[in-house]
Amino acid sequence: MTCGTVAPPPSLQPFTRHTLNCLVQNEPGVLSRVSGILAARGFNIDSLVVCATEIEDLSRMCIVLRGQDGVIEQARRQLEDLVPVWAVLDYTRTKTIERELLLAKVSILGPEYFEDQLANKGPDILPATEGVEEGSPVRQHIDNTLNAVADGHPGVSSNYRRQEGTLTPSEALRQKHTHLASINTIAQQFGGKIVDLSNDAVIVEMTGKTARVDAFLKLVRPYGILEAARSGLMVMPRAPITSPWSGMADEDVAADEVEAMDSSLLPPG
Amino acid sequence: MSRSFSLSRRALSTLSSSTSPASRLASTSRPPCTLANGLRRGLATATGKNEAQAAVRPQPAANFQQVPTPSNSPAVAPLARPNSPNDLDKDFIGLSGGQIFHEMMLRHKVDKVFGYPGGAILPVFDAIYNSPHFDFVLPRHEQGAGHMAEGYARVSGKPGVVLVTSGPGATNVVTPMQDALSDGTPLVVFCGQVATSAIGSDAFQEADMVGISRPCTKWNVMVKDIAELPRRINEAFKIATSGRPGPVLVDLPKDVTASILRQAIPYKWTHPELVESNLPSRNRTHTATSQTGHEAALISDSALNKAAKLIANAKRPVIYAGQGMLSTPEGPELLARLSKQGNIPVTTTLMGLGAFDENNDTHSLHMLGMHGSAYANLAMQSADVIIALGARFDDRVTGKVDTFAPAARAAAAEGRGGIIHFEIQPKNVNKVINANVAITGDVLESLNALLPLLPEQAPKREEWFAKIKQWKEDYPFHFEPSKKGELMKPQEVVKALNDWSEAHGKEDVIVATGVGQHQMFACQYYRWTQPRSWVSSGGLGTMGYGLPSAIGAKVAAPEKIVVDIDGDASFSMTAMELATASQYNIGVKVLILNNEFQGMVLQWQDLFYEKRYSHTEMTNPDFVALAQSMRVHAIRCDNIADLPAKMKEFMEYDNNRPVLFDARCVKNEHVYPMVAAGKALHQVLLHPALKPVEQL
Repeated sequence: MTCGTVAPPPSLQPFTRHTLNCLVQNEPGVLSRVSGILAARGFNIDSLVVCATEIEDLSRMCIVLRGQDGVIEQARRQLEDLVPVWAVLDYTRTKTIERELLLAKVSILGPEYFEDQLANKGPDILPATEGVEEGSPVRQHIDNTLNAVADGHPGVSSNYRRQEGTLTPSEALRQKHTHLASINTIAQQFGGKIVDLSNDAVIVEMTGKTARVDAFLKLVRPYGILEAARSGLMVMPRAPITSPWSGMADEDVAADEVEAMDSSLLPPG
Repeated sequence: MSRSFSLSRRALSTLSSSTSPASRLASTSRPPCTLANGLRRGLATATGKNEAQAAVRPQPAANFQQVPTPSNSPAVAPLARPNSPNDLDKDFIGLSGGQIFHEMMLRHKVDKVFGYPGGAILPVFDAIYNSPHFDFVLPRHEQGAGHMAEGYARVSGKPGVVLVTSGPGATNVVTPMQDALSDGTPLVVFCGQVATSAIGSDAFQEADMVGISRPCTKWNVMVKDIAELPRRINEAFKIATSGRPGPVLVDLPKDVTASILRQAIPYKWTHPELVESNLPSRNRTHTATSQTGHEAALISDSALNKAAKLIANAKRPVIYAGQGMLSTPEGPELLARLSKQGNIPVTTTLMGLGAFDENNDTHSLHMLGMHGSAYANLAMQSADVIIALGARFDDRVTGKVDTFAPAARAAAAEGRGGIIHFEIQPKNVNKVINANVAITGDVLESLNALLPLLPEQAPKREEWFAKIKQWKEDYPFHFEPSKKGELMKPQEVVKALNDWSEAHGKEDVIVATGVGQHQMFACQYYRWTQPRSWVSSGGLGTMGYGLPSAIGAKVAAPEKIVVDIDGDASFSMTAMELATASQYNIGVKVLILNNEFQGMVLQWQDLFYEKRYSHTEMTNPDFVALAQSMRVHAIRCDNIADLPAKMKEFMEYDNNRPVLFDARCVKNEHVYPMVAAGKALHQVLLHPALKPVEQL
């Protein structure tokens, strides 16, 4: 039990983002073994997507992490050495389709009310405005719109009185619908859609590559994001196009990027 | 034993699928003297459990109208062999989990089991009660069981089997499992677990063994249903022994081992030879899709051709052989052929000792690394081609990584040399040292493919061999002999053992060690010539490994002489296993190089901590009295004059009884040569009496 360690020479390789795709046996403990190998080498996993595949007993993990090429390659081989792991493919330099799913709950009350709305947000299963304090700006906004609804119904008495600095019910409604419409426009531009609509917020669903999801979030951020959930990245390599026509692009670059992956090596062989 | 074993084998194959619980239970409940019983009894069971169960389900009355079924109708001929591995095997129906375990051990030809009983594993222990089919060794601590199984595996080449209980029983095997993982030793550990209904409830003696053992096993599994028990056992043996061997753990909840199998299961689950695991094959082709992973490409003719060309043209080649060369008996032969045909000197790692005949004066460089020979280390640093065979460039071998093998790197840059790495695990390629040619796959297969590519007549390389000869003369293993009236030098004791063994014949001697100075003296002063004659903890450096692993080695090869060269501190960690050896008449010889100190730590404290001996002095028991209290013969020697006679008495003592030799040695002896941490291999610290190494 003698000691004495030899420190490896510090490598000056830059840290880059890597996408690893693991095909693993679908059984308990595999995720733990995979994440254990990465944790033991000090990797922080940026994103990790796991699900069973169309083949029985086979799961696919897509792992995104940052690190030096050499270190990641060593980690890849260690992962591939695990018994329940079929193959680990590094898709970092492969032409792939990358997608992640975003669910974002965005306020439609407007940025003036967002802080208050966020601060008073109750448990997620309740409407975002549940439990909002009496007299707070959000409460007034809500009350105004509720009152506006009530106004429209005969027989419902209105205790509404116009105050300095507050919105009239119609103003509140118009403002809300303007926000809703703009969020909807942005969402449509990104191929997303509104999947839930409530008094004070909408949930937008969209898919895209990481940069596109980031861009969407940047655009809706001014409206106030109450909550956002991202699935993490999934990838699938593009199939190469074969044609007798050589095309206009520089061939070398294209050939280099589409990395050979012999699909016959993939399970179940 | 072997007779009854073969009988049960034959009986099973002729019996096959037609055995139903009713017919078998009926047959075993009859008097055991009938011939029919002997033939019909398909499964070897250790206990009279079937008789007990037969009482529960009596035979139907004679006038009871039975519907003819395949199982009770004698007209249907039994299938000799299953038509397809997916056919259902009814043989195990009616057996308990413990009985299935017993039967599967027989099918895997397990003849020795090391273990310790306890609550959660009792159903299995009950099923192997009085089993005539294998020997059971009960250690005094589960760690002992694990190391014994390792020693058994190292000598026999078969996986060591450990059977322990849940909780503390299982956690005590963690050290042997990590040791086996570090050294690539096949080990199959079965541990008990609380009943599945109690898992996760912090039950008595519950430990999450699958979680605890995950990083220290190749693979592990909890058997959740009795129907999957045979399949999991098959997978465990397959994984432990394939690729780079290693430890596996099978967690057996008590209710699973106690329950009775009531369904037929496919033949492919019950027959080890049909095992078609749904786990990824260990022999699969590894992918090399990464840009940086070109070296991990499949074994290719081009890589072999390149390697052959480099070797043939090398001016100063050296072979660096590891434990991979010992995986089959063919390995050392291939290594000798490569060395002779290619005219290349050989150095071995600590784990590879015995793969090459060290008495070959011209071609053997002995061990390399931190405490390896100076000539091996200088050869590595000066070589233009390094051929790494089944070795993994451990940090004890490379010294400071960026100063390792400068000549080979320079030669690689000029395209006339480099490092050629034969490796079974792609993950080990370029892990520590970048290889110029990497050949993944079984090193023996690769070597078989490489040898025909080498030229018939290798260059003489006179200059290179002359240089090696000069190094050997200038920098031998050296120590100052003890003076009159002094305690012995530990090197003298190892030399005395070596002399006796040379005279007796080394093919009969196996040496195990603990970890520390005594281990290094054993490497340096015992001349290794025989494969699988060396059992030691390399990667993990587990003190206390010596005695239990020697017991395991002796169990694997009772006809041989097994010596445990141990240190006083190392021996003290597992000394109680001497009682095990005494109980089972396992004739191990324990040779303690007793300097009343943790010698290796003392050496580091001398060299790097200004002789502040922080907690390294040992206050030992009287080892002779300790041995005698366990009815073990013991010898003490404290001077060189008595040594040859006492060594003779020790080595020639009854080979069926343990014996202990307390060799009292001086305290302040250092292991030389030494490559200190952070130094290059050629910056070697020699014995003060030798002139320092000329710098490269």
